[in-house]
Amino acid sequence: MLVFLIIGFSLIFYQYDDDNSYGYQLLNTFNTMYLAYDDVTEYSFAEIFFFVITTVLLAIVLLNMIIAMMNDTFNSVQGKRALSDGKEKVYLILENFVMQRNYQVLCRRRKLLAGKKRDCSVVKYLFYVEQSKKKDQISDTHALKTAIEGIQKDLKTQVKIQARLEERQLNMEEKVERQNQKLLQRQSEFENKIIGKIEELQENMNQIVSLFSTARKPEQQTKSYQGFMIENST
Amino acid sequence: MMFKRITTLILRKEVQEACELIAAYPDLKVMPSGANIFHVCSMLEANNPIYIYKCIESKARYLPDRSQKTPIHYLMGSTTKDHARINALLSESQCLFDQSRCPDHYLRYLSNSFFEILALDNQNVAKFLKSLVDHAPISVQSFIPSFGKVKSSTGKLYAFSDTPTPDKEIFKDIIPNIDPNGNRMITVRYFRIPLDFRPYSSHMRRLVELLQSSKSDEIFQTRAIKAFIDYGWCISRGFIFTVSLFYWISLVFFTAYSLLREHNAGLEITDFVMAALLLLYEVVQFIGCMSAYMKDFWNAIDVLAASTRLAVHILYWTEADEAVYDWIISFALLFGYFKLISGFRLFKSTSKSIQFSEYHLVFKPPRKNCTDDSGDHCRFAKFLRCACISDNRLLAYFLSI
Repeated sequence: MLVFLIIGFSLIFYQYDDDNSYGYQLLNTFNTMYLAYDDVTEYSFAEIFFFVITTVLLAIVLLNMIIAMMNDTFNSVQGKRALSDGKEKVYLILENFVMQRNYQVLCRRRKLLAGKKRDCSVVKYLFYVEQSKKKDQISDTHALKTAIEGIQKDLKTQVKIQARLEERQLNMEEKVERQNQKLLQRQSEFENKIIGKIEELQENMNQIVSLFSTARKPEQQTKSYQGFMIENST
Repeated sequence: MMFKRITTLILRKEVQEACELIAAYPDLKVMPSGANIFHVCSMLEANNPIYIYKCIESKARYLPDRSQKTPIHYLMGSTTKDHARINALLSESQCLFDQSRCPDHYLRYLSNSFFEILALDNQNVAKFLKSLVDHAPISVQSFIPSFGKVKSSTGKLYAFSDTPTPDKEIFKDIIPNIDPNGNRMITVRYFRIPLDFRPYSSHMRRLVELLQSSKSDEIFQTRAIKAFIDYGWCISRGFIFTVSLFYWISLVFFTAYSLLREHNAGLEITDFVMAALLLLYEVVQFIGCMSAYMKDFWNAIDVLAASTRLAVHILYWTEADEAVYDWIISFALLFGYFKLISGFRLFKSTSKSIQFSEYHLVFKPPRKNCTDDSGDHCRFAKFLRCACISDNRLLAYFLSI
């Protein structure tokens, strides 16, 4: 796109310039892209018009290109950051190791010449003390905050549920009390009724007994009279 | 009897039946060799990862035999390496080397096989590496304060021990380097395979060479490799900074030489000696590790910077053509200052910009299914041509000097 624009605009400027070659115009247009151009005060109106368009368009295209390139690069580098960071260091470490090895080879030769024995390899466990990174800490505090917020939410809901349960419990207690009172009332009513009935029954019984006693007396008299008659006859 | 039957089935490639028997008898053991079903599945040239998966699934014990060899030893020691089975085993390493299984007593025999495993360079190796770094036992953690600040640029301090449960003595040099007033959490981790971690030992050199040839992003993301790189950087940082400082001083001399219009023998000889030393340094690097040297883009710049500087002096002393001399001194300055940019790699904050430049100029990702390394060098050659030819103003500027 940039090449086509440069060629196109260089051809336009070439139409107005009879003194210089096309190659010069091409280079001049290329320089315009970096805002490095010849004196424009002698330009005609048409030339200035196209010059302005050229500078604006080329600058926009160039900037767009750079932004697009950098964006792409940033993403790619970011994606392979661990690899590229590690490799950079490894290359430098290897550089040191190669030099040190050569130095050691020289020293070893000297030692061998001096009659000293070669060192044996010693395998050991590597322990490293590491401090947490700021990012980790930030993520840790974030995790803690979210955990605390979660706990707070849970607590709130639990408190609400507890309040509801308490309300229900109170209602239930009230109901139970009411029921209890009703039951007690009914019980007392029932007791009263039973007492009343018992009293009625007692009265009835008394009446019956009295009736029975009154009805029995003449019968006894006749029986005693009949007995007397029988005795006399015998 | 059962072993013979399973072996026969595996060799006959009767997978179904063999798997059934493995699942039915996971605790089979041959005495006195101490090899179990896992060893058998690793020893035989079965070329089928399903046996390994079956052993893991049926919870066959991953242990060393009497010859202190674990299944991975047999797999790695085979003349024709069965990558399918090795990868199957490595992919399940987090389950196999779980802390609850006390893996330290059999991982200690992996010192030699570790490098062969690392050379496989794939994501399963990364899984294996992840399982190799763990928190030190609580008794060891108690020797170090839980909170503080580590006085080290890498944020790590290193200690070495013969056992995975060392005493406080090994941390005596570390404790003074922990500021108890800091508020960072401090943890102690250890690498479960014992290696020769002495600076510049054969193990360390092999490790660095393997990492240099590694292309797996996952491997570089593991704690183990990060710790190794930081440890290596701690050892090498002083030397690298010294070399860089020497180069910067030499460039000051060369810049002074290029600015002078009059003959100055002292400056010329000093600069020549410095350039010769730099070239010698590069030659030693090249001989020391050719493959790695060819892969690093900055080494090409280093060689060109040193050799063109030498050429400048030789041309001047032999009174060669002035145009040729001007060309060579321009290139010497161009490469000299280019090399200066590589110094930004030493600092974490500026290393990213170098990565951007490298990405644009040299290491653009290769096309799909293309793994040829030579592409980098072709791009480098193209870049050099473009750098020299296209930017005529820069060239004109250098020529004008």
